[in-house]
Amino acid sequence: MKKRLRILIALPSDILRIGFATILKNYMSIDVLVFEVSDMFNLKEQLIINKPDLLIIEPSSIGMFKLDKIRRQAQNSNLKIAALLTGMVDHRILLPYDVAISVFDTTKVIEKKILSLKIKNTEKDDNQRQELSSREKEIVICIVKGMSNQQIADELFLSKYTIMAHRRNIASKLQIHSTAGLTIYAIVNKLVDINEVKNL
Amino acid sequence: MYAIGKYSDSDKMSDLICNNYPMLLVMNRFGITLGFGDQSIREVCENKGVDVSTFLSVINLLSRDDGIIYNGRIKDISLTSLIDYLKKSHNYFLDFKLPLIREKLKKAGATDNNDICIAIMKYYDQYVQEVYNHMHYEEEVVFPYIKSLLEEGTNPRFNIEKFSKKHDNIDNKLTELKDIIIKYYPGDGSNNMIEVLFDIFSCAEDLSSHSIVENNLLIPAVRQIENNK
Repeated sequence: MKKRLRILIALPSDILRIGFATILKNYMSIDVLVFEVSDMFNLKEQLIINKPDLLIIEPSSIGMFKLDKIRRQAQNSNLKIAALLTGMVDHRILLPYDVAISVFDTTKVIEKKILSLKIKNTEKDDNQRQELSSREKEIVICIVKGMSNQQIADELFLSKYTIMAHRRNIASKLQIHSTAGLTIYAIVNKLVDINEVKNL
Repeated sequence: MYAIGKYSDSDKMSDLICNNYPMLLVMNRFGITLGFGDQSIREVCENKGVDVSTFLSVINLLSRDDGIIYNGRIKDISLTSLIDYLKKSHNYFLDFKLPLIREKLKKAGATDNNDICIAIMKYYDQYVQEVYNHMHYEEEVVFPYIKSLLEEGTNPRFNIEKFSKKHDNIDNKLTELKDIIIKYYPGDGSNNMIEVLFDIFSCAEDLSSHSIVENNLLIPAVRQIENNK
């Protein structure tokens, strides 16, 4: 399953905050998990608890909170910060932000702006079938037999790092992240026989 | 008004449950039984000795139908009451729901390809063990820490930040199992596997609500006490 994009909306105005949250939640093709905070003094706590990928704030409401301080508090150097603009703003104020969204932007434009941030989770799925290559199938067989990366590398005459890269690709193609899950996959697809699987 | 959100203490308990049936689980874990007639949330809670504000904080946090998670009203929460609720939730998952799903999984797989059934059971048992470890840690380390914090003061060897950092979602692996079954299970058209899938969907949602309560009510409430010490 794809990870959902986590968005924290930090806006004191109920109308803006709940309105924005509703748009994000109900009118976007992006799968999002929305968190809200109205009191800016709780911002730090919410950043830590909810670990957002994207923070939306109104430049005038943060005043003394500097953006780099917010990034530090979030303990996430990849945190994207979007400015929500309710009126005219000197463009220099917006320089530290990753993107500026206006209250007059349409839903489509907002979606485009969020996608333009290229946060990993929002990348659209290519709808191609995610078949494993024959090399990847070999590796799945080794994994479910209980072999370590080093053992697989020795068996297939590849480097350990190549095996690790293959494993990442397998996990992202199948969306299966555990050995026990791969075992079910391998048995269903007749890659292995139950008797070959270790520890079962 | 005791909490920000959809429901207040003067609303009827029956309206809350009928409009939002997953709250049956919450109600039960607070020790509220059925048969409350037309009593308000406050009346039912007082009769059963349940802390009204904690109950309202939990249901209002979980009953936002738009999926938006509100910042709960932390200062009204009784931690003793919340921990009791969380413990009862743990019992529900470990002693009731997860074993029930196991039984149904086994029944659904019994008629099918036996190898696949064995692999699925193996996955499931490993998962249940992880859930057990996760909840056991909370009961043995986190809850006693909070109790000692309430009674005598801070415990320098532990703080809620440590817990917050390592507190991960326990519903992910259950969701993965559901995805594997949906995508790869060679179905025989029987109702049994579909029935289990419904259970897995609702259990994964319930586990995710459980984490939401811990992350958005428990952790902030404890942090507030730590900061005031």
